[in-house]
Order: sequence, then C-alpha cells, then structure tokens
Amino acid sequence: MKTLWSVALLIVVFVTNARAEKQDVTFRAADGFTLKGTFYSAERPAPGVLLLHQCDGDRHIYDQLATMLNSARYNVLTFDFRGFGGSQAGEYTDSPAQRQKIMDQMPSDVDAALSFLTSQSVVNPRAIGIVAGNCAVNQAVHAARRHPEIRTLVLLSGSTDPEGEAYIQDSPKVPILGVASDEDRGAAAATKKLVALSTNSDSHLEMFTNAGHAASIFAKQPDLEPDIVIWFISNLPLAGYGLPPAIK
Amino acid sequence: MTTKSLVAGLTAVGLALGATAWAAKPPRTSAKVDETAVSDSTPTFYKDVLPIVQEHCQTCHRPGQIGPFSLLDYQSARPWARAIKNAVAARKMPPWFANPEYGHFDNDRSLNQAEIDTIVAWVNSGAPAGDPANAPPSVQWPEGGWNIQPDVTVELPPYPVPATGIKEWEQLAVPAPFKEDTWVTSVEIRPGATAVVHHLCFDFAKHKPTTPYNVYEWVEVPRDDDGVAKTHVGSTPPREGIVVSRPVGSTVETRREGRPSVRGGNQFCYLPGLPFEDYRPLHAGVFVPAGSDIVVSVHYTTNGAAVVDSSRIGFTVAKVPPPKMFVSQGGGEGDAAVNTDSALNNSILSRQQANEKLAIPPYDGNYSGPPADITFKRDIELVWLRPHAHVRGKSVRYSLIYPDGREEIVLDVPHYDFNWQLTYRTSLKIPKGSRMHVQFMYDNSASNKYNPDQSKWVFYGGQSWEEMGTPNMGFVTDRKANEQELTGERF
Repeated sequence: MKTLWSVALLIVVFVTNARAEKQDVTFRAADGFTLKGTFYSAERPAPGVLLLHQCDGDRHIYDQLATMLNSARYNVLTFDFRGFGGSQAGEYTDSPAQRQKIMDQMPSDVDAALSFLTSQSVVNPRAIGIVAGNCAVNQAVHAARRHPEIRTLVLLSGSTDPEGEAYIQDSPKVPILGVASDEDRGAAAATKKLVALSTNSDSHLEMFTNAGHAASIFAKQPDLEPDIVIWFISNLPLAGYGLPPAIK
Repeated sequence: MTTKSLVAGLTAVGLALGATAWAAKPPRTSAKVDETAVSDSTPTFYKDVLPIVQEHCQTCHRPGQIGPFSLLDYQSARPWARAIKNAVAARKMPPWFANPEYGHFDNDRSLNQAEIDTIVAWVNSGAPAGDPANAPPSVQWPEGGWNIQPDVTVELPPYPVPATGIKEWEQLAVPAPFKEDTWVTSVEIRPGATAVVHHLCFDFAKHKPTTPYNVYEWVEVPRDDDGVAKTHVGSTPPREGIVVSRPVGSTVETRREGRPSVRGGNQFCYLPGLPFEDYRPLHAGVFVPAGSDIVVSVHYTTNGAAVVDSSRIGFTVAKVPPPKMFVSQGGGEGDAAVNTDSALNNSILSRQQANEKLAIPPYDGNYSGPPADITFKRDIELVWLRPHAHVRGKSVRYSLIYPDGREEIVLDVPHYDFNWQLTYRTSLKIPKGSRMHVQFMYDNSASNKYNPDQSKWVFYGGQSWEEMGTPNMGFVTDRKANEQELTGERF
C-alpha cells in the first residue's frame, strides 16, 4: 500500500510541477574535463541549489527533487561527477575501478558546478544551498568551507572528515538538515554526529526506519522531498530581508 | 518488478503526463488513490481541510502570489501534506506574531487549536482527498494576480537594479491617474522583482511647478566599506545634502547641494510580507484631489543578479464619497511620518522619537531602542498597527496610556520577524489626550540567526543592516466632520 501511495504521489508531483524549465548543460572542470548536468531555471533572480549525487547513482536520482525545488522558484543544478552517468569519458569510464581517482577530482568538479551555477544570470551568487548524498556529503561540507555563499546544507546518509567537522562546529550561520535511516547504521551514526556538531540552532536531524540509504530514502518516504523544499524556503529565503545585499 | 524499477517506470509516466497536464489541469477526481478506506470520522481534504485552507492560506498559496506552492486543490496540496502539518503544528504558518493575550485583531489569520487538530489528523490519516462533492465553492480571486480588482492601475517606469552596490532611497514623482477629485478605497502595490524590492511606498501630493516628473532623486549617504553610514542623523533619507538626480531611462547622474525637489512616499507601502490596503470594510477612503502627483519612495537591495523591476499600483475608487476617511501615521518605512507639514502632526497627533540615539552595542541581545511616543490631539479610531524594524528587530509593544492614566497594551509582538511586515487590524477608539508608547527591542547577539555581524555597532538607517523602529498606525475618522480640515491641510 505504501509503495502504491508513493507511486501515486510521484505522478501527482510531476503533474503538479510540469512547468519546470530545464535544460541539459555541459561545463568544464579545472582540468578541462567536461561534466554533464541539468539546469532548472527559475527564470527570474533567485537563489541556487546544487544537488550532489551519491556514489551509487547519478544526477537523475534528483530529478523529482530538482523539479519540486524549481517549482518553488529556486534555480537548481544537478550534474554527474566524472565517471558517473553522462560524465563518463576518456580515463573516467568505470567509476568502481577508478574510485580513488574520481574522489580526488570531486572538489574540482564541485567547484566547476558552483562556478557554472553562480554564473547564470538568474542565480543570486550570494545565496546557494547544497543537497548531497553519501560520498558527496564530505564534498558538500568542504565546498561550504571554501565558499561562504553556501548558506545551508542538506546531508543525506554521509560523513565528513575532521576538517569538515571543525568547519561545522565553527559555522553557527550554516543550518544543516541531516537525513538517514537507522538500519543504515554507519551512515545513521555519521549523520547524527554531523547534526550534533552543528552550532546552528535550526539544524535538524530526520531519522527514518527501514527507509534505505541517501536519496533512495525518497522512494520510501515520499514526504521527504517536500520537506527538503520547505527546508530551503526556511533557510535560503527567496525574497525579503533575509539575505544580506551584494554591497561589493 | 522491484520498487525502484516501478518508480522509475511511473516516473516516466509522470513526466509524460506532466508534459500535457499543465495546460489542461486534470479534474480533482483524478486523485482517487486516497478515497479508499476513509471512514466517516477521518478528516478529508475536500470536506475538512479545504475550508481552513481557503480562509487562512490561499491568499498567499496560489499561483502568482508569494507562497512557494499552491493550495488551491488537492493535487497541489497533497505533496506538501507533512510539511503543512509540521508548519501549522509549530504555529509557523500562517505567519502571525501577535501575543494572543493582548488586543483583538480582525485579520488574525492564525489557526485555532481545532483547525490545527483537523489538519494534523488529516495528515496522520494519510491525507485522503475525500469526496470532491463535499468541497466548499472555490474562492473567486481577482484576475491578473491582484488581491484587489483595481479600477485604475499605474505602471511605474522600469528600473534596472544592478547586481551589486548600495542603493539609497530614491524619490520619483509621476502624475496620479485621477483627473477629478477621487476617493481611493483600496491600494495594492505589486513589485515586479520581489527579490530586490526592500520597500516601495508612495504618497499623493499636490503638484507644484517645481516638481520634476520621471526623475529619480536621492541624497548621497557617505558610507564606510561595510556600507554603514558615517553619520547618524536619525532621518532616512537625509533631509538635505548632495542631491543626485537621474532621469528615468538614463544613466546620467547630476549632483547639486541642497534639498530634494520632492520628499514623501510613506503613506502606502509594499514591504515583504505586507498585504494590500483595503479601506472598504472600514467604509473609508483616501481623498485625492484632481491633478495630484504620486511621489514614490523606492529602495532596492542588490542581490548579486542584475534585474529590471517593473512595478504596478492598483486602486479601487468610490463612486460616492465614503462616510469615513482614512489617515495614516506612516505606512511602512522610516521616519517620513515625522513630517512637520502633515495634517497628522498638526491636527491629529504628534510623534516624539529620538532616532538619532539608536545605537545598539556589539553582542547586545536585548537592546531597548528609543521609544516612540505619539500623543493624540483629537478623538480618533485606530484601525491598524504595522511595526517596522530590520534584521535585528526582536520584539515590539504598543501601549496606550489614556488621559486618566490607565494603560492598555494594544499590541505585543514578542518575536518580531522582519521577513513578515504584518499589519494588525483592529478597532480601538482613542480619546483626545491619550498617548501611544511604542517600544522596540533589538538582538545584536550571535543568537539572532539573521544578524550579519554581532561585533558591529548598529545605528539608525535605511539599509537592512542598519536599524529602525517605526511605529506605523492607521486611523479612520468621520469624513464630514473632518474633510475640510484634513484634506485641506494635506494639500
């Protein structure tokens, strides 16, 4: 019955949000490697949200979330890390075999995606959020370390290294939504730790039971994607006085 | 078939449906999946939830309004069910900040406990649709995205807002659209680019030969590298200084020393979260003499992306003069209400507030701002209150001290939220000789999540990183008894 409801909800969501404006895009990482992505334009100035996929998937795991965020008037970019999905070429064609090599390039790929996103005329480059799953969680935290324009993080079933943990502790202005499922023990413990480390009073942990890992939780918990949209509405304002102006 | 592949397959179906369904919206009955296993006692969307949503939510949650998703029908609402439950149970939505212990407000849009319980029970039961035959009639909203259905509209000139930099408050005079004496009964300002409009306010003013049309004017404010004004005069915009002028459509700026040609723009306002003005329920209107000007005060905040703002103003007008007239002690921003030429100061009230003394120390989480004291010179009916502060605003309280010394708390906002510039509509007869004492508190500590820098002193000013404490109020009074005096003085 739950699966049936999930399926019905998917249809409803897609019917409801069919106005999304999206296009496939390509952009280059610092070493010249071409990354493929999908940009969902709000068609007016608005914050941007970058969606970083987990290492057992590609950018399409976020198709529905991206559409919903875009319907709520955010600009959204999903992209395939090199070695995944549409970004498989040259020496990066077998992600399991080249895992370490790919991981080494992830920060550069994230920076290229951020650069692409913030260069879009409709994107407010001072107001960026990130959703990341599993292996991308550490990338998201470190991206926030490098880029103060990243104002909030949604972290699905993942962990970060000590430098990332220190950043979270020292960043009371960056609210974090952590999501995991308790039977996914390692990821659940790591996600709990991330939220516990946060010194932002709005940071929140959403722990499910038997819901799976990272973005696969969406299928079993159909309310999670709307909740993530609401998270951004609360923590990455679309309008109003909530964001400091671009003085310089 | 695994769940994953089933979902993937139906995702494709959903996309295919989506490609055609937006133009031809499916009937409400398409959501049949939820009609199973609904007992008589289970709340359903159509029977139990939709009436609540219509009354409290749809003003904002419909296409073209500020709500990020529509709540017009089940299909639009269902994906957000749990989020709706969480928001209403926590009383985050609908936004309403008045302490219920004080005052009575006609537009209190907060949900009562029974309504919250209904929504929570609906979501906990799987958020069923129910029978569409039980739905109340749809609300007939005005066309074109308006909340009022305007009789007359004014298109303001397109304004190119740059990606970066600080914009001061700019004034602009344009002819009002009224060729005859007119009573305006509602006003709605619709900004074109809400992300960058900090405020857009206007007054009606008598046209003077020296009034330049379609020229933006502002007074330069010397600022440091962080955008903080170097002098703190307690007046926004400054009343004199280096006046910069730029014609509409031009990039050429000219400078002169002195006072601006026009000054005003505080009676009717758009601010984030602020609804339209409607005096019809009050049987009131605002008198606009033939040939008046509209003097706009506009403040843009750059956000990193260049954008062109094209704002509109809509009016409804009375066919016959209404029995009451509306007057305001400021509609939104700043200290323009402290205008020694206004009828309000001369005939209705006087306001004292030492804005120049506002100086919030670093790390101070509970700073008491310079209070405003408004003394009433005649009997009048208070119809709304609209406190205004910026990102460090923490709380505000309006206390009315009657001539006999009795004190009444009229409005208490214990948790001020600058993102929601709410109007609290009431009806309170204020006798001559009363005094309204308005006290804003500020939080310049790290615990204020909107505080951009708790290590800085904060002074009075028009930018969002500066502060204000504006005690806006609106009144009505009998038209026949006051028309000549008030309308005459205003012009």
